[in-house]
Amino acid sequence: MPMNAKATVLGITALVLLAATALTLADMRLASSQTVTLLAKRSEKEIPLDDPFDRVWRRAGPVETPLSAQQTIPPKGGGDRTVTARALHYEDRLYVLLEWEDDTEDSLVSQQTEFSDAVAVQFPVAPGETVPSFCMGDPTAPVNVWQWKAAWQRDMQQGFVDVEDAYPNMQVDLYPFEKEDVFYPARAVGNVYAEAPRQTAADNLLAGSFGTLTQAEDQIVQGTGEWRRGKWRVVFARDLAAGGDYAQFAEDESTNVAFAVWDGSNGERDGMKSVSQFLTLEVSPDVAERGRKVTVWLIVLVATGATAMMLVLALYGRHRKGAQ
Amino acid sequence: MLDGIRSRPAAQRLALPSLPAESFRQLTTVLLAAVLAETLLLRGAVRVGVHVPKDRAISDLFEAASVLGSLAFNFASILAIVLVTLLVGSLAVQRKGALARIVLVMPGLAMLSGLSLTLATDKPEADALFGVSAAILACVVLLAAIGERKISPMEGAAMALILAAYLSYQYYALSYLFYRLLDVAAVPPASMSFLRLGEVLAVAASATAFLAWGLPRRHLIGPLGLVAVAAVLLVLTLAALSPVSTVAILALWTTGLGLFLPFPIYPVALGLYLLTIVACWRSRDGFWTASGLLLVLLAGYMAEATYQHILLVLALAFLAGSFTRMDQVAIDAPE
Repeated sequence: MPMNAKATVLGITALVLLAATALTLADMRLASSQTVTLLAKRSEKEIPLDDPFDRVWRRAGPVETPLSAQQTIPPKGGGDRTVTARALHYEDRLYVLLEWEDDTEDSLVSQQTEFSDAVAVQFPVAPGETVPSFCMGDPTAPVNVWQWKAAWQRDMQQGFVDVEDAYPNMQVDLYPFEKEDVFYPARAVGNVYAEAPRQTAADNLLAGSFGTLTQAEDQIVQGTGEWRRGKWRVVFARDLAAGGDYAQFAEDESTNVAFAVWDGSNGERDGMKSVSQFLTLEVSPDVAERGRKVTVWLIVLVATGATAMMLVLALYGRHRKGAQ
Repeated sequence: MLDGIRSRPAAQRLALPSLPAESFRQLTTVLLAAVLAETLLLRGAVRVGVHVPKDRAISDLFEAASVLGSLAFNFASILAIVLVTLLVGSLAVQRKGALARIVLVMPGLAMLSGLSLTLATDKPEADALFGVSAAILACVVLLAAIGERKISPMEGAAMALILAAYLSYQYYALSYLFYRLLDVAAVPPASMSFLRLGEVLAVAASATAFLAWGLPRRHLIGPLGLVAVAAVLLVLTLAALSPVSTVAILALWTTGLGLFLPFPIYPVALGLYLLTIVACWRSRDGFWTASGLLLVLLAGYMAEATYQHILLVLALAFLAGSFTRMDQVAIDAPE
């Protein structure tokens, strides 16, 4: 190879290295995300927290996301599922609606073999160039998790399900100290799983890697779910801006969002879940209106594409004919 | 290959007016090294390592790996943009007709414009321009090469499967993007089916690539190649069987595969694919095929960043022989 060609290769490599070093020192990466975006538009209509099937959600663009089994850390579990996500914001509150198929409504956990259906949303605490690991975040990039459980909602709506409810024919002579805190040690030390009466069906949590999931001090997330004809719909709500080290949202800003689903009848709990990767969540100032009819746009797109294709083919044929 | 190169400037510089074919090979080798380093340091080690309990010294090592990985990422990203620009230019120079040049250059220019816009702004229109033009360029590069070069049906099938897998993912990503731009509040038809289909096609492409390029060169794999591939598969299988598995992280972060098919299919497909790369790498005429296959693997199935799309377009160009012709020109050049 001639010397000048070698010099050209070396020159290009050196220039590229110089530019790459400058970008790296500036903590930038020369790439743009091309992931699917979940758009949270502004709703002009109030979003009822107690009705996940409300018509207002027809104004939100759905994103269907694949979930796969959590296969990284024991207890592994979950499976190949999909979850459909929608998001809106109304009067400085963000609402996220999740919908997934589940043949059984599992909201009773009164026996040791029963587990609750549940769903969770995960955001980076601090959005930026470094996206946390979708597996419960990194020590240097923690995540904020909102988790809703069907059993907790049932506790709130129908009262705490006690042993007598699970075993109505049980006989007990005497439970000493039944009315005292010491009788319920988990509840006495503030274990969230033993909380009664429950304040919210959606828990606000923080994590910075596996095994670090912790209930946050501020329970600022609301959540309501409803199972209807083999389908769960759960709506989460929280203020866009929240005090504390939690995910923050604002109009015209983006962050990442991931989802997890638990199927109680499949014995799923804790790490046994189906998880998604991170998508982009964008809080848009645009007003959410009834979406246009998809069929009209499909026809327009197909017609435009076909016309363009015919034009290119006609031009090409004419060109070849001319060349012959 | 180097033996055949003659010092006739007109032949050497036919495809790229200012860059000889051998220089292209060298730049491609540098790109492969950078992409490999980025994959191992940024997407691999850092993502897996973050979950490994470690003391200060190990923590510093991971920090260093992260910085080096970012550097390799930026280096590979810039070099890939340079190479794809040169590719579009060279393809245009090789065409005879004006229309053919336009058909090749237009998506290339559109992709580069979309890239500039998407890097500078967060506009979904820029993402759409980039995504659509990258998909069209990938198709055009492959069709142009297939139209001109005699390739075996198996080679054609392997390339078509790789392209189809890419287009399946692009359908999923772009259909949502267009629904957003058109303000359609609905799930695009069959988007999830296309996403799953793409993963099946990606796995099928591995086996087909082996039949197309690996099997005819199997004698070149050698014991060392077999041991290397077996070692990679052993590590992956043990990782999958261990209680704390890193396979899912590796699969999702480095290749974008959801692993929804039965697990044994993935190591088998990967094994065949790696054997093909080794065989091509060691063959006299397999440099561009090995480079293309390696870039397809490193670009991953779910191209979630512009950088991965560019790698995939380059990979298809390598596989389609867009650069082989330049080598050929240099080799065939009379004294």
